[in-house]
Amino acid sequence: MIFTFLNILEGLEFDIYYELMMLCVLVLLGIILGKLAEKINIPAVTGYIVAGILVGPVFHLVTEEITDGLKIISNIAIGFIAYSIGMELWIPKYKNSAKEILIVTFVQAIMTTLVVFLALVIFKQSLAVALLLSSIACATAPAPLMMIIKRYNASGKLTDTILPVVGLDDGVGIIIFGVSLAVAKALINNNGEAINIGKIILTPLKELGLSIALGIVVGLLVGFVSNKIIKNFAKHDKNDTYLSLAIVCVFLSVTAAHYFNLSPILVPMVIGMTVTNMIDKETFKTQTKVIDKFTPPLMIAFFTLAGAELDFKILLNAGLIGIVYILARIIGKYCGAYLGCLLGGSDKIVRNNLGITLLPQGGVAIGMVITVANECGETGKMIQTIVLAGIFIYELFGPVFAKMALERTGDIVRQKKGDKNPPTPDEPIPPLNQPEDNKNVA
Amino acid sequence: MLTKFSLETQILLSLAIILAVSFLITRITKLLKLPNVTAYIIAGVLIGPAVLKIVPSNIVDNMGFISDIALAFIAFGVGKFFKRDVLKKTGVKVIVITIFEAVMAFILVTLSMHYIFKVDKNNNWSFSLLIGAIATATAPASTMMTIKQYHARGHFVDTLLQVVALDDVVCLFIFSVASIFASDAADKKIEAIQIILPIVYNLAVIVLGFVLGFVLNKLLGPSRSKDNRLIIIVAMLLGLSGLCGILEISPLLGCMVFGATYINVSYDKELYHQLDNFTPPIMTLFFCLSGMKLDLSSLKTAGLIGIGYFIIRIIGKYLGAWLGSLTVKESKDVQKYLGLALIPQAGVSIGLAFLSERLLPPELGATLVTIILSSSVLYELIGPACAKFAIFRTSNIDKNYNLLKPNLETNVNLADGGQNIPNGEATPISNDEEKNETNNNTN
Repeated sequence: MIFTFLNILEGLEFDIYYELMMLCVLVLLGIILGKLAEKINIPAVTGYIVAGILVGPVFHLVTEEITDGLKIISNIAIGFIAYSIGMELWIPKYKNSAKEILIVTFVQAIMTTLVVFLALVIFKQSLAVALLLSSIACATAPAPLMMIIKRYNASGKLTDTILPVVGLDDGVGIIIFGVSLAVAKALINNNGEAINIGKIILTPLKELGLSIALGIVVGLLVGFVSNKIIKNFAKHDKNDTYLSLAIVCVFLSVTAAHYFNLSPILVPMVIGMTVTNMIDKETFKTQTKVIDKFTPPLMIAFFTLAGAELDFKILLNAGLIGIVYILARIIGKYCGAYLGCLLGGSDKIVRNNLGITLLPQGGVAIGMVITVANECGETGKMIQTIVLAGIFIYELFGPVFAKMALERTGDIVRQKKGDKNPPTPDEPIPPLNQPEDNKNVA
Repeated sequence: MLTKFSLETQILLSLAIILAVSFLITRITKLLKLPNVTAYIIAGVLIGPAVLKIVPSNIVDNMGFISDIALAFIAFGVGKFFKRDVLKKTGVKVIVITIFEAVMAFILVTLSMHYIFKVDKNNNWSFSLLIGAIATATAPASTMMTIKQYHARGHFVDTLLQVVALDDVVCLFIFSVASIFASDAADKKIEAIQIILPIVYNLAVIVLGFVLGFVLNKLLGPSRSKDNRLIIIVAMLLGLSGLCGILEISPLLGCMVFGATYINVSYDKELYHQLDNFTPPIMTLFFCLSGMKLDLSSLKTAGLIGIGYFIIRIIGKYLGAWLGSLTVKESKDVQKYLGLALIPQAGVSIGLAFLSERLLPPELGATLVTIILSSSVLYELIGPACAKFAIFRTSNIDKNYNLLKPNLETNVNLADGGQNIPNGEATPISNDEEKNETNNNTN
């Protein structure tokens, strides 16, 4: 009966309202599966993604049209995640570990690229394909990591390393990908044109530089306004204004990134980072609290939609090369992170576990592969299949491994049975007895 | 100005601009002691297609769903005021007052349109009847927002909110009756189903809202984390407003019943507070967009009849509310000021105006739409200010509220639900509502 009802609805032109209802279904199912996932000790994120897969590619309740229509939500969500990561990057906190983090980020990115490149060349892929795939391989998705860290209130050395590494990784990724794309295009077209090395390196550097510059300029402005003006507002007014400000920042940076071809992650992240280093602790607390109270529905919509966009069939099409790519990236990330930590002098506990947490991959890689598909014709299509298959696997299992690693290092304290909401420094209220209290008051 | 960008860029940029400009204008209205809603609406008029044309009209048209979502949130939030004991205390009185104020506005506007402005030709009452029926509609959103902004509480606010909520039902009823008469008189027949269906749908959604209230109570068991509670309620409200959008009815009634049922089965005020942290940007967008939709050019063409309608409706609402509350022996405050808070008119009335246009001869139909559109501009601009005046006069506002400075956010012992507020603070906290507020902001 439901199906006939939905069929009737599809015939009518109430697109946006239909989308709203589907979003409701997606999110509620996401909540349910997220809970179920946590029962078997898998992060809720995976449950959300599975809910998306069920509603999307399995039962076709949500079609591609709908996910396209709701794409704007995903873009906004990525912006918010990047902004929150930036907000965590308070420079004094990383004063001692800055060198270590830079080394780790670079080494793991380069290692991943190298390992994937070699593996693909061994399996007789052309240089161009190997180059493109290996450069996409180093992209990581900050969203699931951020989600897990926030959800389980992870804290510790590993957590302190992950956040800046995933953040910076995007910057390194831009350069590696930009250079590879230019070289690969020259290889594919191969019309004897001399490769202009200066231009190849300059284009991604420009993207990186502009992203950072824009982020800093906007960040300075926002920080100034927060400090000088909003701080003096009355409480409620202040909270609302901070929220508006953060939303305006994220929206503007997402649009600017799309319009000028800048990184949709770096721009909001640098804004957040600049702001967080300008404001005092109290303001920081208010701002993160206000944002944290606003974003949860956006986040779950983001992950369920990401799941709805995944496609099974692509797994079959990817074939052997797909498996090689997926395994090589895992090895590359793990060894890269291990080596990086060794060189940077990180703790043993971080060294052994960091690579596992860097596996999730999503939005950034999709953005890259779309560029490739647009610019490299047939080769691009094939690369797209493989990368999407990889994302399917990484997105589904990455968070599981990341959580395991965080549990192993003790960053996430395993919960006892029956204590589902462990009290945390930020939120000391056990919501357990909250309704009861209200009842008594009423 | 933005049209050269892609659609998605346009939307995001427009939203960013709306939020930024709205904020700037609230700084001005703060100085003038006007409610924020007025600022949002003025911001909408300024940057919308009417004046500066910064936000293109295709964006405004595409954003209609934001109004539905915002209305759903507002209505659900208002449901919190409909606790059983409050309803018991005021129930019958409210029904009488609502019928009085609606019928009075209807009669006054209809008669004056017929006899003073003589718009109807050949002794055909259609136009007067329809515009009279439309006059009964009030737009509760801006009044509700103003109440929220000033954290007004008390008997007057309770009565006002219930009247406003019920008004929607009475208006739909009067309009249905009027349109039956009008379509008998006019040559054009409107199918009965077009009038009955919305009523049936509304009833269905009310029932659904009632059921959802219980479902929500089951879903939000004590073990739910705060984030999940927020996600669930947002998703359910999105779904409900999506359904209402598909059925082409206002989400107001359904969501209000939803909210009222939930508070009565769960006594869980915390959820409404969580929503208060989530909704401000949506509200800003909503009122700013309604400002953009206001058609300033219709002001010029509305003419004398428009001004007549504008004034007579206010008189009708005020007299009706006064008479009604006098009849049921309501307090002086309610008698004097209730009518003022019933002035705002938009959304529903505009929808009904377009529906009546189809019932009338083309020329009259156009006049009616112009009158309603232009008066809604004025009503929306002065409505929130009048509502604020009425609320302030009935002294339900905690005057200290806006003086609450961050230094008052001291460490409240959170384990006891925030009941032990440290002494020595000039905490203007008068009821449990406010305690939760402090509680929220310290954790």
